[in-house]
Amino acid sequence: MMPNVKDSTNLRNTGIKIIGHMPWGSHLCQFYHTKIDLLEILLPYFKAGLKNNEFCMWITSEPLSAKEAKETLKKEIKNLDRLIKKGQIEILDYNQWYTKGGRFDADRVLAGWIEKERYALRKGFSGLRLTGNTLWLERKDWKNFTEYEAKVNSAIGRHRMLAICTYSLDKCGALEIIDVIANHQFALIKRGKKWEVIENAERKLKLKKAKEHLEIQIAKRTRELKQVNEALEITRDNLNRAQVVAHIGSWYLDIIKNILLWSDETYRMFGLSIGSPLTYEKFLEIVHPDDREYVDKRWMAALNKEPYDIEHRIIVDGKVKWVREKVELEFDEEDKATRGIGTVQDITERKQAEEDSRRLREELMHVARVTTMGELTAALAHELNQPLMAIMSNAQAAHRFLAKKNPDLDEIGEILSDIIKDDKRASEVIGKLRALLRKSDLEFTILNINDVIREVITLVHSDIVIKNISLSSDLNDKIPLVSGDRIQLQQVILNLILNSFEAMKDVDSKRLCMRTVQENGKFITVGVEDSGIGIDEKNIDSLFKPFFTTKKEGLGMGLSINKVIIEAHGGSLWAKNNSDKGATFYFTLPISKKHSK
Amino acid sequence: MKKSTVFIADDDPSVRKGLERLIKSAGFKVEAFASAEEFLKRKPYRNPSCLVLDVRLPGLSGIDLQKELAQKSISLPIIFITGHGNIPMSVKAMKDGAVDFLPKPFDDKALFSAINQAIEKDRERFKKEALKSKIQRRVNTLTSREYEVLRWVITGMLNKQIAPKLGVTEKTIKVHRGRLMHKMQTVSVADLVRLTQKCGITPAKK
Repeated sequence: MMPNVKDSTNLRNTGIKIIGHMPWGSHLCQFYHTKIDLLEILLPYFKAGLKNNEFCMWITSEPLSAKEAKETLKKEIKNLDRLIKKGQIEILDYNQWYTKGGRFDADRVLAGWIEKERYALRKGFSGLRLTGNTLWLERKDWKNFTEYEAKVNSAIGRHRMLAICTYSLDKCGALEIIDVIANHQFALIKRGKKWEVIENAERKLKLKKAKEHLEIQIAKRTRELKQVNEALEITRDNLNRAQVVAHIGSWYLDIIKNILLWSDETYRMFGLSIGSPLTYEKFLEIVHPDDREYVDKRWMAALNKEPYDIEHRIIVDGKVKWVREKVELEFDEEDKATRGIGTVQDITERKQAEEDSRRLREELMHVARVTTMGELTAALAHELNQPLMAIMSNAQAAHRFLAKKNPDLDEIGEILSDIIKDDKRASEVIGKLRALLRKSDLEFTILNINDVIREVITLVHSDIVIKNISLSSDLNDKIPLVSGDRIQLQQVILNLILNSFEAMKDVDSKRLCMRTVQENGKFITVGVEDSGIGIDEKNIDSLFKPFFTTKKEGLGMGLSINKVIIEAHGGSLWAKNNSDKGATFYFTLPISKKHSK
Repeated sequence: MKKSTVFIADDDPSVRKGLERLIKSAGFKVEAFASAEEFLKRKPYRNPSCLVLDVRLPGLSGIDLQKELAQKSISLPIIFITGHGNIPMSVKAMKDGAVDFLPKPFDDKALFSAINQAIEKDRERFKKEALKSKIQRRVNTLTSREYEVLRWVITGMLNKQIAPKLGVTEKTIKVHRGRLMHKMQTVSVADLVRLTQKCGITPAKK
């Protein structure tokens, strides 16, 4: 049985008005003249003890017998008999306690009290409240008893005991009174009709010393604390400096107490004045609008025990910065996050370097591509232009001959056969180009065109971000599979996307939409829709002819090669201006027969 | 007037044949060559003409041929044609005196406009050359003393000023001047200055 909360406190209500509350281990004495004096103190004393779950022992002597004490107390405590039965109070005459066995034995009595205290605690009482009358004391026992009282006085402080020793003024001389007062912490004396408390001078001195000692201790602790604080200040300062040097800020979050603390460097990184109030919402405001959803999603996931180590952009003073954020969260038994420590690292420079190297790589790739294409185009152009030149001059020569009065028909016949010959030659060149493209290891596999589109989008993702293009996809989840060469189809899609970037270069609102649609039972259609400058209507037919280009550096081969690739797949490629802005390029691919529904 | 000739240098037989037919149909004389080397073997032509030259030729390229002709001081107008023209190359060719740079396939209008321009340029050149040789022939009839006096006369000096320079009398100069004016078939000093300029005779140093 646990003692109740009230009982577990060290401070006890003595029940005696002028004393009030006293801690366990208090040792008092009362000087009395009459029985009335005794009862004035002891009745409220025991009433309070019984009420407060204390085990009580009342050792009586003349002029109050145990029997009389019990009866008097019963008037105050109605259920006293039950309490006696329960073992909460014992009222004994002095000869059943102090002089049990015929004589007073200080050690036995002391051991007895300690035994009773143990009993009290074992039974679930808060401690032992006792009183003992000393009228039985013979003068021969006085010295012995004084030593006993001194022992009690020095030992009682460690026990859950409260004691009042009662002394008859009639039996005490001045010397005895001094002894008694010296051996108790307080003395109760009646002056006229009022009880007074006399505090032990030694105790006062001890208290004073204790107080002084305490003050010294406090001063010492204060000095130590100051040193610790200084050390802490230095550590914090070092930490702050380290954070500045490393571009790393930190933060602390107590979810239960709703506390969010940032280090100075974190404040600096986020462009807020140090110490300004913080909320998660305020943090989100600084995050780049395009990254907010991502950051929020990841943070919510982190609260569900997902790792949180992300890179995102923030906008500080109108400038874009990149930060890497990490957090270590603590969770309670119910897996609810309680608190966490996070770091924020400024990785703008690293990102810039990455971006530079990516751009450089891209430029190199572009140069390589253009060079290869350039060589191919030059060779091809020459091969095609020779027969075209011959056809052109022959046809125009024929025209002139026919305009003469007597045209030489033999000559014209010869010209015509030369034209036919050169036309065949031109077709052969084009056939060679087709063959070249077909021969470049077209590997047909069954594939989902949505996957191919997603792969290409991954390739151009960073371009999309940098060029500030808003990309949307409307990919039909149930698009049937097609048979095709993954690499070649990627090239076509990539080329169409890159063309759209070019077309949107100088427009404000850059939108790119990728679509897949099932046209009918035989074909699927892919649409690449942009919000660019659109296609000049006069060019819409020549768009797919070899060497047609509107770009300054363009070779005019991209779209014609795309057309050859798509046609090699059994599909077709065309373009249309959108009704509002920009153009859409479409291509179809036949649905794989094995996989069509 | 003799017929103007258009030379063609292109390694592609079909193109060569087609161009030859087309240019002939417009009434020009045509001579076609399959390489630059073949063209260089031919004797220089004595009448207004031009060269339709493919940039890319096996062996000596069209551009190399242009350089070679310039070194030999053969100022034959050139029209470059190419199956894969690029801008830097055409700019260089034009700077070096080409009349035109035509990317294949081109139509007859562009070709004949270039040919006519080239022939006209060459004709002008021939005219200048002819005039120069005519004057030169007259100069050749002068005695060395007359030639000397001529170089003083074209400085604009008077007889009495020229006489002390040559250590003779004013009268002697007057006689020489009369003769040389007659031989040069001219009546005024101004006309004489014009003629001498055309064949590169410089005035004497005062």
